[in-house]
Amino acid sequence: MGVAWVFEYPLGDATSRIGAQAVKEIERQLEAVGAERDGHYFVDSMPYRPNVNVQSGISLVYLLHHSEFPHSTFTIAPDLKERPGLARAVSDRGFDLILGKLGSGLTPDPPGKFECTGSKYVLKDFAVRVGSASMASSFKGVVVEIEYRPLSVTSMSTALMREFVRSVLPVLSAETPTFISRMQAHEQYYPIDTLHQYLDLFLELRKRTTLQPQPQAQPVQPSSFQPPPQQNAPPVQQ
Amino acid sequence: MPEVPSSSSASGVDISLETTTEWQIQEIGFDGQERYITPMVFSDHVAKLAHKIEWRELIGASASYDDTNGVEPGAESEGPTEAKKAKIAAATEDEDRRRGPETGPWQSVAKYLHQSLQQIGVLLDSLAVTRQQQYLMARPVADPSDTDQAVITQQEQDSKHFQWIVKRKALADAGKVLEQALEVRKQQVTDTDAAQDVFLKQLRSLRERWRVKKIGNVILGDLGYRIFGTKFLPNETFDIRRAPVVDGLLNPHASLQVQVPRDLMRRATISVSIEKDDMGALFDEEVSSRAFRTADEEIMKTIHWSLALQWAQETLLCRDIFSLLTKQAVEMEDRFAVLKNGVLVVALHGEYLLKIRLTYHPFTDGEIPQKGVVYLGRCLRQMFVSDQSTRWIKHRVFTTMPLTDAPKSLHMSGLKAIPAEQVEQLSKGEKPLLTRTIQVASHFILVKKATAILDQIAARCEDPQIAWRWVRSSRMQSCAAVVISTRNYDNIGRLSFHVRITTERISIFTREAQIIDCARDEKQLQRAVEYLICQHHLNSLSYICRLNHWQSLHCNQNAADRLGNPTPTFYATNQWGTRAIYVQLHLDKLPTVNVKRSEAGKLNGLVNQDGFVRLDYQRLVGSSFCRKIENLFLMMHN
Repeated sequence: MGVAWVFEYPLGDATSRIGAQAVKEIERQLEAVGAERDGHYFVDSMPYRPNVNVQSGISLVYLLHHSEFPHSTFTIAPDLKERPGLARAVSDRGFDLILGKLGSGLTPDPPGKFECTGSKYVLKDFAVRVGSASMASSFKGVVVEIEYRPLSVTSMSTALMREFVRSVLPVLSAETPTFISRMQAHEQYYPIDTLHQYLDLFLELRKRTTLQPQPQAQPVQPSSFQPPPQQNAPPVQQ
Repeated sequence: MPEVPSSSSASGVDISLETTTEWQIQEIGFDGQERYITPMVFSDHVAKLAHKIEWRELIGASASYDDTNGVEPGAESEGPTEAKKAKIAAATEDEDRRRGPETGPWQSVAKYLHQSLQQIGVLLDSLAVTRQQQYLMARPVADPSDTDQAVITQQEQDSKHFQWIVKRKALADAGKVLEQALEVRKQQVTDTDAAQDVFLKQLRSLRERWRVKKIGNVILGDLGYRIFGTKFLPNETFDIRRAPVVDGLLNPHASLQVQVPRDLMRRATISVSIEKDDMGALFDEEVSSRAFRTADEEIMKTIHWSLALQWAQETLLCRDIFSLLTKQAVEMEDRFAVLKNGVLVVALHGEYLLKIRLTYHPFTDGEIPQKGVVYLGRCLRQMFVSDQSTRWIKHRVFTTMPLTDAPKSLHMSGLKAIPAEQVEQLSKGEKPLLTRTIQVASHFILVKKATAILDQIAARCEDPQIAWRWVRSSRMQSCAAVVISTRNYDNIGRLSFHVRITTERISIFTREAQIIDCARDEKQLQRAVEYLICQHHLNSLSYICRLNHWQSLHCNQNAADRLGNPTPTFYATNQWGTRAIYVQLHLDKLPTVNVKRSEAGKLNGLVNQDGFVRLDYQRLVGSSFCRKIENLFLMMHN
């Protein structure tokens, strides 16, 4: 266990650089510092939507997996604004199968599935995971996860993490992930917090790219916080 | 088809097509319709022929035609009961008497027909039973799904009384059947002889402790000790027999006899001991592996079954443990192991060897001498048995998922979100039995060493006092707490530390989180404890110094003498700088006390090494170290 920060790597002008190039660039930077490659990693997120007749009782949940935690399934419901801490759960992988039996309440939404694959680098106590996030096989952005393994209290690691980011990946040094800055002082960090950061990032990426085709001069429409149009269609009964 | 109208063509001959036999025409109606007589079927033929028989002549003039004693073929197929049989017999007798032996042309035919009908009835029944697999079929009286639900509830409400009565009646009927069965059973039980009774009682008490099953006429028991896995392995079963009654006398305690396999007809023990490698004889003399064949089978008849089974199972267990250890010794890579004549010798560390010995004893009553270290033997046995009775497969409760044999430490891994690296570490599983035995033995040796040293120091050292006790002790990890204190000087405080013993090493953990590693050497442990005693002396010195308004100049815990042995030193002066005391504390000797006098106001004299007078520690006034030093302080105060 440790504390992890998850960033989106800024690609700048999207047309001039492709994701793969950016990933290679980061990897080169890491190798220059002395980090060693240690296999692949994989994160996925699948939205589960409540059916029409139970929408008042169940909220939209996301099922996440991380290859670092091979036996666990993470369930997060980000929409539950009033009790954000409570709407998260860690469970055995078997929970996927249980959810399959709840087809009358929650149905998976494969078009909204996010995947993030890449490679893991280890530098002493730090582990850095660099991967490209894609939704339904279309590239959405480059994600960097930096983990400091010996600590599990968020606030105690902030300075160290900031220093590490500044020296290794200077492009990211300006920002602290919003999730981390929102956490209270001396709060214990759990693995599900990492997945929560991933989910926040995925939602951000998804929102942004759906808005991109619209002219930027126009004000943001109020409907932009709603799910994209194809999600509004009633779920297909199987 | 009566006729085919011929074509009216000019050429050719007209041919009419007709069937060879056609139904006889009874009459032709006025509308031209023909009415036919239907041809006779078999029964009509029979009836026609039967008309020709002179019945009166056959059965006699006085008999009536309406004799219903005859057996109806339909009733026969339902299975003849005793009453019916009797009736039939009476009827046939009656018939024989009336008609005589030859009853007419149809008698034999009727008999055969009847027999074949019976056979076919039986065949049909058997077929039905084989097909449906049930002799009786329960059919619902009224299918509730047929009627409307509302009607049913109405009826139910209306006829609650009726239902109660029906239920009570059904219960009473069932009870009656059970009572009847019980009566029959009682009768059967009382009928059986006393020997049978005793045998059954013994069999029941045997079944309470052993697995028993019956195949045909043979009753088999299982000697196997496994909870999971195959039961009733052929080489682990025993036969259960009834003892023959000799001279009409019945031994009430031994009416049941068991026959265990020949190779288990001996008692076995497994002993574990720790030997020093001093070229002594480690191995036993060779015993023929077929020695058990000479065992006397008659001996089984003299031994009570409960003892015999216990011994045989113990032998089986010991044999299995030993064979498992042998297998693991072969697979073990980092240690040296020798197997010879039922003795397995494994190198522990240094000069120590672990000797595991499987010994056989004759199959007779009596105490078996315990050899080796009893504790180690018990540990080995307990570890083996607990391995056998552990469910290694994880059961899934809520969903159907693949069964895994992941170790228990991984059972909550999903919920705790254990990282991949840790999962890999945890999934290594239990170490082999031999490795664990070696660890337990190593730990045992270290514990013995540490206990001896601590006891020795505690007995020898009176000033300060040393007390120690076990805080926690398990098979592979133990921890002792040692407290050093001075009598009558409670204010000085105590020095306490822990001695932790693992399978590999002894280490001392002090209060200051200082770890003194003693490896496996008891001498090192002794020196470390003695050093800590010196440290306690040093603490008391500085305390007494402050108490008597002396000024401590130095208090060196890390000082060493000329030979490099640790010798903590203490140097103090009085308030005027006119007297100085210099104490050297030795690990294995009495402390050295030096005093010095210098002139007032000349601090150089204190720094100078010369001018010390050594005092004889034994002759100092006072009963303990603290008293002596305190007296010295008081004497030299001014």
